[in-house]
Amino acid sequence: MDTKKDIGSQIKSVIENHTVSPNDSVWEHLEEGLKRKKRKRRLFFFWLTSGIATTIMLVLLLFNNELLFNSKNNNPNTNSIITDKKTNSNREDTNTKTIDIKTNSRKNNSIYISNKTKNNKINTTQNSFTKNKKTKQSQIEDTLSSINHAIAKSGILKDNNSHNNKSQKETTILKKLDSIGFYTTKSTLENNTIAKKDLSIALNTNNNEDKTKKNSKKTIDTTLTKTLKKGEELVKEEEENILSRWNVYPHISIDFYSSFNKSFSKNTTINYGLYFGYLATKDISLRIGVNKLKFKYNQIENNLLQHQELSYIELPLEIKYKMIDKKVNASILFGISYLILDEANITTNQNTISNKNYFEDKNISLNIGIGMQTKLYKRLDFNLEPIFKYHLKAHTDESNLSIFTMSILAGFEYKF
Amino acid sequence: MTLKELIKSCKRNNLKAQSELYNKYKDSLYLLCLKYCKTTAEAEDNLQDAFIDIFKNIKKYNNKGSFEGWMKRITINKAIDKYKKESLINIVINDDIIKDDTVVIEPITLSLDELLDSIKALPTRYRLVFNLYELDDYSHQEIAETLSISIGTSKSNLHRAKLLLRDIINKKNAIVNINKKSNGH
Repeated sequence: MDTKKDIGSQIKSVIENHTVSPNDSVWEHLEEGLKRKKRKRRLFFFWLTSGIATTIMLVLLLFNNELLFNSKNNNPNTNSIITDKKTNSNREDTNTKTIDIKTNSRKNNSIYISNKTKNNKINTTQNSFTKNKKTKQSQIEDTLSSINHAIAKSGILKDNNSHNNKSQKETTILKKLDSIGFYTTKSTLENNTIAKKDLSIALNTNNNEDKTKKNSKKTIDTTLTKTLKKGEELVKEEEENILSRWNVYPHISIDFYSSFNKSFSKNTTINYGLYFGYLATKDISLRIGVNKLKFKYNQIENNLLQHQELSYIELPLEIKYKMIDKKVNASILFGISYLILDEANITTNQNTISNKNYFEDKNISLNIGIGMQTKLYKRLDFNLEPIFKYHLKAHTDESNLSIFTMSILAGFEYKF
Repeated sequence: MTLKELIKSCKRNNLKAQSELYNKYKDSLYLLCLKYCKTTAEAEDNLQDAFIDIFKNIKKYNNKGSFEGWMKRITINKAIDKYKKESLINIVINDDIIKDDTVVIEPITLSLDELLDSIKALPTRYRLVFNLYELDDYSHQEIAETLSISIGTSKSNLHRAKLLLRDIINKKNAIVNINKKSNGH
């Protein structure tokens, strides 16, 4: 009887009837990695809550600050603008129209920052500093522990007598990793190179010490090379992180100026500006900027067509959180803008006059938007960002006009 | 906890569920790694990397098709990726189409370790093709796509892998038989 069978099917049937369990250390390493990931997630929530808290604090501070709205307090008397008007229907008649600007009711806004607020501010700063420091330390510890695992796996540190050596090595590696800087801007490429070399020496020392273990030498070498590679990758990653933490983002924007309770027409303008950003974590960036905003709109006031032009210098402070990290990144962004009125002119028929007093000199807007970003080159991204901005107090009178702007920003972001 | 509930919990990054899922499938996936990797250490590393990918991408699993099959694909791909980069200069690639790739052999009496060692002794490309086709039921078309080779090369590599394996196993079988005889006397 021919008992010969195909080699493939025979091997398959033998293997299928067996089970092999991996070493327990596999789960230990895996669990460690998963926990680290969770820690990172917690770190994100920390950043998010601190961001929101900072924004709220800034808004409150600026609103309590007399500097924001006190310009009108210096003119307690009613201001008036006398303008020559001509009606469209009857050009012969010349009417005089007085636009009364009501006195700003907030007369005695004082700069009031209580001691409590000050203390809270100091405490928040201290806490965030301590937390940053802890995070940095935990990252160093994580790296160290993974390196130790690799070394332990190779069998070098099995001997109890080498405990002291291990501590020394830990200190050496810890020092080296610390010298890399871990998210400190002080770290330079030169330092990283030295750290890489020293890390290599530290790991090679292990190799020399265990020359007697001839049988496991090959495994040790592989593990050490791997560990060294990991260390180098870490350094490289760190270098890259440090190198591309900042960004500059010149942009143009299409701005639509409107109000919830009054209709405007011909109210779209094109503006430009510049943002400077800082990548705080992998997903969160903070940015400040300066934008030149010009708004135009037509409105009908007392059956009179008026053309209003406004010019602001906008200083935005925004937080951007990356939600989707794919070919096209999607982020949500929120923040505030400090708006400084530059010019305000109203044209009625043929006359153009300044009506700056009708608008607050300084204003704040609350901003929320969506950011879309796609990579063009290694350090160059294209951004498209629709942003909604709600103006908290645009006018000096009590007309309670709820002004908002809808902007679509587009531009190129360069990382460095 | 049913598999569906387990997957759902893993999607929420529940560490307990992740541990349960790992324990449920660690053995079968580890055996898979042992077949594809050259050493035990590499197999363990591959298992760890594969589970990282599984937990990372579990949200993308839409309950369609076998979950174990999905995990096996991830594990195999992870192992293959490592060897794809490896130089293949020692392997002569011949696109001759083998019509009959059957290679018969006496019943195998080797232990699992000896069998795995025999597979590991094959050159990387042969080992991958043999494992994919014979042990994990990939078609030559799928192997060609996975390894970026032609279907003919896949067939030729499989045939050579089997011939080589037969020689290795026959030698090992002979040693086992001699040992048995000497122990009997």
